[in-house]
This record gives sequence, C-alpha cells and structure tokens, in this order.
Amino acid sequence: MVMRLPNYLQSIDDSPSASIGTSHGLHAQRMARRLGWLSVALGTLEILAPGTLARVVGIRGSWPTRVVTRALGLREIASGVGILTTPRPTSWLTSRMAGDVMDLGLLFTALASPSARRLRLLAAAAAVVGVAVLDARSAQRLSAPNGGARAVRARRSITVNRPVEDVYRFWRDLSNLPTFMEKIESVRVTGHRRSHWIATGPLGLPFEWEADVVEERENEVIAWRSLPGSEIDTAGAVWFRPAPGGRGTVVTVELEYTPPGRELTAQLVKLIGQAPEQQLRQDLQRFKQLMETGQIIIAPDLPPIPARRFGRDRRRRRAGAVVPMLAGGA
Amino acid sequence: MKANRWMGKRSVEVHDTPDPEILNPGDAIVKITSTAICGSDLHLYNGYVPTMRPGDVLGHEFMGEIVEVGREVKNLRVGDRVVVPFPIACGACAMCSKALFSLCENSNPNAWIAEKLWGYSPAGIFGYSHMLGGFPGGQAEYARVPFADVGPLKIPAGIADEKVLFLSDILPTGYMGAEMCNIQPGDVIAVWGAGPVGQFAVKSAYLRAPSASSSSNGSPTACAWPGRPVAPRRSTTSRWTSTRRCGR
Repeated sequence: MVMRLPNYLQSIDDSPSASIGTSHGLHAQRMARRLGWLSVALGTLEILAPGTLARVVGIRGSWPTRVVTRALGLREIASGVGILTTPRPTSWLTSRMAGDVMDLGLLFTALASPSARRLRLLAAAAAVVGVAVLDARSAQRLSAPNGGARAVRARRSITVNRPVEDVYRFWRDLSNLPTFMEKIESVRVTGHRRSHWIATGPLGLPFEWEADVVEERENEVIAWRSLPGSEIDTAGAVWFRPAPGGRGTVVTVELEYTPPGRELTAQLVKLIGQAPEQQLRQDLQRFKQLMETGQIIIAPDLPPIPARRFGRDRRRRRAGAVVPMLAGGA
Repeated sequence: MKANRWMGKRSVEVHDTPDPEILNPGDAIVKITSTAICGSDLHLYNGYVPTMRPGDVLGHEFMGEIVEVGREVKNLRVGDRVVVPFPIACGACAMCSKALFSLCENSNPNAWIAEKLWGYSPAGIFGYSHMLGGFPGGQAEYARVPFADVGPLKIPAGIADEKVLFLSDILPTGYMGAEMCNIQPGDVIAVWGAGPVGQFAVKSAYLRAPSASSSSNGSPTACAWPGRPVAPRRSTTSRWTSTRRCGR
C-alpha cells in the first residue's frame, strides 16, 4: 500500500498557479516570532542579572537601577509570551514598540548621569532603535489581512455522497454556483472559458468581474481567475477526488480575493467581520445538500415575540449548568 | 394557529403563530392530532440549551394528518395519518444510507453552530434550538415536516393515537437501551429510573428476548424501580435511565 498524504497536503501539491499565496505574510510571522523570543531572552536576563546588564549598557548597577531593570524584564517577558502565543500578534508588537520608546527614554535619562559611560549607552540606544524598526515593520505587515498579502483567502473541504463525475459536471457549469454560494448573485457563462460574475461584497455593495477558467482537468480540478484589470482581483479553485470507502467525492475549494480600494477596504472587511472561511463552509454545506438531496433545506425564522420576560430568571441561574447531549429521549 | 412557544428561561406560553408553509418541495404539512412533552424539553425549559430564541415553537414528539404535500413528495398523500420521528433525515447522505438517521448530514442547516459547540453536528431536530436547525416544533396545531418521504411513519386507520404516538421518540429511546443490553433468554433485567423512558425500556426488554415458547427458561424478568442509577454517570446513553444486564 502506498502512503498517502493527508488530503489537505495533497491538494497543496497540485495547487494550480491560480491560487498560490505570497510568502510575504509568512516572512512577517517568522520575524514576529524571532522578536518574541528576543523579548523573552532579554526579559529573563533583565530579571536574573539586572546589575550585570546595567553595567553592559553603561550604567552603574545600583539598587534602584536593578529594581527598574527587573520591572522592565517582566514587561519584556509579557510581550514576548504575548507575541509567541498569538497567531497574528500585531497589538503585542505595538506594545513592544511602546516598550522600545520607554527604554530609549530611560537610556537618554541615564546619559545625564555623571557616572554614565556615554559610548556604551549610545550603542545600547542604537540597538533599541534597530529593534524598534523591526517591531514596527512586522506589526505593519501583519496588520494587513492574511499576514501581509492583502488577499483574503479561504479553504474548506466537504465529502459529497455522489460520484466524482456528477459533482465535477455540476461545478463545471459555473452558472450553477449562485444556487449554493450565498454571496455570488450570478455567473453568466459567456464563452468556453470566460464567464461574467456578479457578487455581493461587504455592506451589500455589488461587484462585477470577468473571469477565465485557467486550469481544467476533467474530474480532477477546475480553477478560475478574474481578468487582469478587473474591479476585484479574485481566484478560485476546486479539487475533486474519490472519497475512501465508496463514500462519494471529497470536494476541496480554495477562494481568494483582493478587495478593491486596497488597504482601506481590506481593513474595513476585517472590521465588519466578514469571515470567508465560515461563508465557504456554509456554501459547501448547501452544495452537499443540493447534490445529495436535490434541494437546499430552508429553516424559517419565526416572527420574533417581544422578549418581555427574557432574562427574568437570570438571578436564579444556577452555577455549573451543563449542556445536555440530547440523550435520554431527545 | 396556536402554538406552545418558549419565551425565555422557565417561561413557556401558548400564542397565535403564523401557519407553517411548504418551503421545500419535499416538505409536508401535518395537522397535529397528538403531541407529547419530552424529558429533554426540560433542558430547553430550564435554559440549558444555547441558541433558543424567545418565540421558538417547542415539541419534537408529534403525529397527525397530512394536509398538504410539496410537489416532490411521493410516499405521502393528503389525508394520511403519520407519526413524525424527532430527527429530520434527508435519506440520501452517507449516514442515512446506513440507516443512521440521527446523524443525517443534510437536515441541519445550522450545523456549523453545533460543530462549534460539540465538534460535530447531529441531524436537525424539531423544536430544539437553532443550532439543531431552528425548525418549529410539534406542540402546535400544524407543523412543517421537511424530507417528508423519509421520516414519517404511516399509521393505518383504527389504531388510536396513544398506541403509536410514542414511536416519535421515547419508545425508540427505551428500546435502544434494551437493545444495547444484548438481552439473552433467561436474563434478569433491572432498569433504574422508572420514568417514561425506563418503563419503555422494561417493555422493550420483553420484546427483545426470544418468545417464551422457544426457550426453556422463558422470557426474561424485567423490572423497574424509581430512583437514581447505582452509579450515576452522565456519560451513559440516558441521563435518567440505565438499563443493565444483571445476570442469569
């Protein structure tokens, strides 16, 4: 038997060029991690050997200096741990920058002291400035969506209990996509490879673009990408592979779009909480329903009743409430 | 129509509610003739189930008469009497094709919420919070039944509602307890917790054993008494009922 990669990795391998992200974000994240470790190391040093450190940067290791240095060490470790434990630690990096400014202030105050060794102090200040620049750059890169690249990306898989051929055929007619993709208003197929898309963007604004199918292997993969110069830069790809145990087809979809208006819109999209991964997950569930049952099930929302008594019993709420697992005659 | 609606923690009221409509071609509308209150409705009542909204119609044990069918419904006609099982099942996914209907992958349109909470989602369930689909329940005059070809059991005329209503949920729950016991002829079966589920477990224990004529020892002896399980554990299949094989 041949060892198989997990589906997810396999599909990265045969990722068509249409949906390859940049290494930009990855780089910024690596840099952030290095800065995090630097913080932890420096902080540990400041706490364990405050006197020695003070002498290295050119100040006398008197007891007030040692206390202040230890406090600075605690701050360093806090931001270091914050950076290392947060996936996109922009705010921690910003706090590191504030710390850098504080350190510079202290170093320059120390310059005024008669016992200070100027050359060492200036060298230390230069090092702090250098690190501050790195902090600022990493924070800036990470604050863009997708860790630097402006593109918003999402990737999900679902298993559909239908043969690969059926699933592929349905998807290859791109005009079927709006039936299950909530934010795609319409796709008009205008040529063998070309199609015209209308989608609802953030705040309900419509977007239109032309796209080409850029890669196509029957029953394996379909990839499409907006034409250069479109209002929105977007690409998508879908992979099909037989599910093990005769369970149908594993469908993996990757979508990527760069919102128009550059940074500003990208930040706005982030702010109003559009979660592309979540959207794709629900779109794929509808796709599965449609392929397996021929319908997309609708759950109606009842007209709400004024919640006059809602929360009345809040005071009586007991601690340790459990969520029952629907056992015992759900 | 009138419907029993959850208004907040420990508050349930009967209100006028819009009549249900056919929303999918596979739907049917049932005019409810009998309905029951389940032990698990207490979880909703006591506010333990997230994603309930004030005004949600309760009830997942109901039966009645078909008054309207969607254009794709083939197995049911207007006038049929049906018992509606509490899990909604599509009949087409991998789970349904193995008759694991309560794990249906298509009947819960809000599966993602249940996945966030439990890591997976069960089937959609009538009147049991929005994370299980937000389907209005059967403690009402009418209910919409999605995938009507799959779940509902047709009931012949001449059988009273009380004889079949509990097929919707609580009898199969007790039966499952007995089934998991692997009952053999001559076993003595004790059921802790003689509530409705426990009593159905007792009845089912008799059903599960070979008939008296085919075994020398006769049918098993089963009994139930009130009280808590000897070793109360939340992780057993049933919170209130624990069916144990006690030996021969």
